[in-house]
Amino acid sequence: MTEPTSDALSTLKSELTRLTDEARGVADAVAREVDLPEAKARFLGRKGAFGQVMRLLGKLDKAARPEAGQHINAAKQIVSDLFDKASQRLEEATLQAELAAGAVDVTLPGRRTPRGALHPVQVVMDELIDIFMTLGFDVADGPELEMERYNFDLLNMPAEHPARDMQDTFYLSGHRVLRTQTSPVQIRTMEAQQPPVRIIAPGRVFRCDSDATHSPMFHQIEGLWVDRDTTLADLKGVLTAFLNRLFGDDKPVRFRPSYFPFTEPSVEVDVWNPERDEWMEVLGAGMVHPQVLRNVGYDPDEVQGFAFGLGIERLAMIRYGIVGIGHLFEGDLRFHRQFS
Amino acid sequence: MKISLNWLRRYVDVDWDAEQIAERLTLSGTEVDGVIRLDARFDGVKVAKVLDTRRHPNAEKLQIATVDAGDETLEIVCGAPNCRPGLTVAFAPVGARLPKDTKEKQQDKAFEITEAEIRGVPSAGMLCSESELGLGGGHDDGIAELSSELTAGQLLTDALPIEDVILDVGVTANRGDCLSHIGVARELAAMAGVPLKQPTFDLPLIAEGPVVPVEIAAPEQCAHYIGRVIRGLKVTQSPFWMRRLLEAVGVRAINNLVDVTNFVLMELGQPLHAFDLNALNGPAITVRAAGAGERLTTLDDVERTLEASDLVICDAEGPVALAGVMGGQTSEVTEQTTDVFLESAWFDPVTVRLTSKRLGLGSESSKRFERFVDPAVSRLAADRAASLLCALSAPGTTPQVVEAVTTTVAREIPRAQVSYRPEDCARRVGVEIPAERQREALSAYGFEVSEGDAWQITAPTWRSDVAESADIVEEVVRYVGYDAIPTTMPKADGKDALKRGATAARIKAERHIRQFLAGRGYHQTIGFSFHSQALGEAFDGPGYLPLINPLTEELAVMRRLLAPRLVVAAARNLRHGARGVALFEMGKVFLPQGEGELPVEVPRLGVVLAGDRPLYWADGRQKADLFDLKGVIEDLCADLGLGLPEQRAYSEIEWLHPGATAALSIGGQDIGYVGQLHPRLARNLSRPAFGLDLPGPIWLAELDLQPLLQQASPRRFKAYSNQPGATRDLALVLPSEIPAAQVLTAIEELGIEVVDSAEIFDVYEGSAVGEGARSVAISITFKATHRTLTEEDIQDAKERLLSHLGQTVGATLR
Repeated sequence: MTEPTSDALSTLKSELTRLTDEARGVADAVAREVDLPEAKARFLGRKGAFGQVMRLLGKLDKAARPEAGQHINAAKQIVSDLFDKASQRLEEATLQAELAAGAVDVTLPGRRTPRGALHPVQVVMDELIDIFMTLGFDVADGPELEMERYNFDLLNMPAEHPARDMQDTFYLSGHRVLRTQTSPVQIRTMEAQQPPVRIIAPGRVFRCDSDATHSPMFHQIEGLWVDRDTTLADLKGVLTAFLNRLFGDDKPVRFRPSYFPFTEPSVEVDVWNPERDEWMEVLGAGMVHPQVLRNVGYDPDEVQGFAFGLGIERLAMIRYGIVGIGHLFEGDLRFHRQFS
Repeated sequence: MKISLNWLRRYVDVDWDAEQIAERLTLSGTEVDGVIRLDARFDGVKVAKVLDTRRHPNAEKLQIATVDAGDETLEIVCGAPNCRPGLTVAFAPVGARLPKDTKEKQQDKAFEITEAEIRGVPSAGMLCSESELGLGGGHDDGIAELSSELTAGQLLTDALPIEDVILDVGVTANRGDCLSHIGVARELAAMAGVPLKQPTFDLPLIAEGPVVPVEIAAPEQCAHYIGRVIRGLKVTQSPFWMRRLLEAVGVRAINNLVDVTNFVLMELGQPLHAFDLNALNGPAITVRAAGAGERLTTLDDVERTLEASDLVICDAEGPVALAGVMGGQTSEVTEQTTDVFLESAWFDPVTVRLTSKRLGLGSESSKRFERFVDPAVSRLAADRAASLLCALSAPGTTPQVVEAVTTTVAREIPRAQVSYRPEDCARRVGVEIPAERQREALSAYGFEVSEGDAWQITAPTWRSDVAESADIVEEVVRYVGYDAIPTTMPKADGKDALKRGATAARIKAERHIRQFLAGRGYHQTIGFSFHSQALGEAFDGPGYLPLINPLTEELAVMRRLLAPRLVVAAARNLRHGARGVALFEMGKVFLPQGEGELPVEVPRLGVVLAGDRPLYWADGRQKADLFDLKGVIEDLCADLGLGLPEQRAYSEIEWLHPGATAALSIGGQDIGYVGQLHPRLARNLSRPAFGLDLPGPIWLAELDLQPLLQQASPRRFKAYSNQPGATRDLALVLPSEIPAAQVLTAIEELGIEVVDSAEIFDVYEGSAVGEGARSVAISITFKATHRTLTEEDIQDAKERLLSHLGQTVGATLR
């Protein structure tokens, strides 16, 4: 005996409506994400309320079953959606809570490794070395504390030569000096090898002098290029290329005669400084003096070349606007931090 | 040297202005460092003639002068005692401007003359003294007495050579001839292609013959000696033009006698010496080497003890002058001198230089003799000076006469000879300069050139710096100018054009280290290579290599360590408020060898750390410690591909804390130390003798660079495993004296295949582990390369480890 179809169907429908309402209440009431599966199972689980309803289906007319099934499925879908929505709501709430917990004052300083700084003289020195290496020079080194012979005599500056006054020298016993120029590296390099010689020699030099622009210790780069037929025109070419690279192609370069005991002819090289509207002396150079070549056992009729030297500190001071050479060597962080 | 353009133009006619002259000189090798304008510091001052003077009615010391000011006659009140009728004076009329402060060398014209009434008498201006005009002048007894040849009403600046331009000329050491106006004029004449005008003068020569006999006993050092005797002089002020020229080039005008010798020095470059004839014994002159121990009191009132290398001028009794350097006091000319013996000689450059150097006594004279004085100019200079002395003697003295000429020539100074071929130039310069152009250059500079293809060149008398063809090339090049030479790149053989030696590699590696340290927050410093002996000895005792002539005691010995300077720098920064100091330096230290031998120069890296760690808000303030510094060094070694340096506690460095210093080595080779500055030394350095502020511990590392750079091993790829690893923590208890490094080494030594790495993560000392022991917790990662790691593998490895550690370092599981 079956119930009249219409009654049974309407009972089912009202049951479904009740269930749906109840599920809505439950889904809305769930406060924690962890409680959601259990709450959902109460309706949609194997032993849940819809399971019970499915059992009602068996009591219906066969003919009414499809329609009833559709009602049940529709209601199930609604409930399922309700819990999905609840799930989204809870997930969102959890996320919001997480976000709230993770909010920081983003303007607080980042965890940095404080930067140290290379010394400004070093920066300029490295730059010059790079340019000269690009131009084909190798790098050589020599003692900072030299025999007088290497610093002077072999460079064509015998003891009584007034040119020795050009450089106030620190002396040590036994004809030793603190090198006043990087030029002795020329001698040591040529003594140790045959031409071609193409070297630069960066390093510390020392002069017995101290004021706002002179320091008892400073840095130079020496250059030497000796081969069979290296000429004064080559000297101009290499040094012009160097200065163009360092200061920019638009800065005029001027060569003018000068005097150094170890070069003949000798030149000084100026670069135009547009800021100060004047020529700025940057390099001393010249063709290696034949006597210097003879002193190292080279034959000046067979080989010749050019040499040059330049001071680093002045370039660094001009580049960074440093006033007072003393700052460079005091190790004061108020100075060094400016170059980080 | 300062060159006056007014003075220069006496010897050379060129149209160029001061800037053009400066540029021409600079581009031909006589560098002009500065162009200084000497402008008049007054305005509107005129020449006037005093027609009449009368006493001021109300003031005893004042006069009223009637002056002819050219276009008008005016009455001026004047207080100068020398104001008298007939005088030609400098007159500042109403509206003229005078310098406010005559002492300061400022270019002001601040003080304007207005109509004034002086003690009831109106005055239409002011008669000026030289100092009131801002012209300096030491003899300021009254108003300026101008030459009577000047015309009343002329502007003073037109009438007198007041305005001038001074060239600051940097004369190179080889060109002593340019230490004179004639020398610079000669350079300019050569550039301009105009003749040089030698000074012309009359010499009122009365008698010739050696009144004062001269003997040269040292011909090598004194090639010739020319004397002139002038009698009946009267010392007075030199004329304005001479004083103005001297002062323009920085020579203080003194009196006619002294000024004339200075004038000729600056004009011709020949140093002269004037003796008071009546103070010379004999009178007779001998030029000879000094006897060792001989004494002479020089003009500067210092008694000098002489040596045999000195050359002296002697009278019949003994030395009266140090040849070429300075005169002696006894024969000095004074205000009372009437008879003068004038010396113009050629002294050997080396002799003068040695004496001047040894005595630390440089003079305008020695400066020129050292650089070679033109031997051909001595006679001209003597006559020029004698003539000027006669002409400039005080008015009213009887005509002055040159009584005698003494010329003694011991030897000729040969002119340099050079064999030269015009094609030598192209080889050296890289561009052909036509032979005729070369010849033109050489003759412009006074060289004599023979005909033919092989030139025989004779240098002018004033050039001693020419010896071979390279020198001739230089003359040619500076004449044609460097702009005439092309710019080319040198040829190089491709097979070695980019050759790089060991030094280049070292320099690159050093740069890498510096960049690494800067990236870790350390600042590169460069410290002097010398410091005080006391500072060095406070660190590691005596034996430092001293300088003979240090600039100061603070810079007296060559450093043997980088640490002292770094500690000083750290203290300086702490004193100036730095909370944390992290510095490094890379440089050589000097390890003394035998006497007279060069020291061994060792390139080192020094690092100092003090104070706080870099501040981070989340961590709060934290003190830096040894492990901050050690960590940086360990990272650096790793970065260089050296791995972890071997390390051991080291207590034998006297300047480091015996219990907080590690010696580091790589592959068995010592590389240096990292440790704490010894507290005893820190205390010592804080005492007033050093005065350093060292409030807390200072951490130092000092490493030899060579082993750091040599041993870096190349990096090679190694296949790695995707198998998961497992980590087990072992808390070990071991005797306190076992260093942690030994535990890690022991684990590594055992070489268990599945042990991938071991890291210390905690160290504990305290009651829980008992006296004399400590707990070291180690986290061990196990990994099998080609299979899955099993629990059995791990257990087995753990047991072997524990057993090994038990045997080697006495470790037990806690």
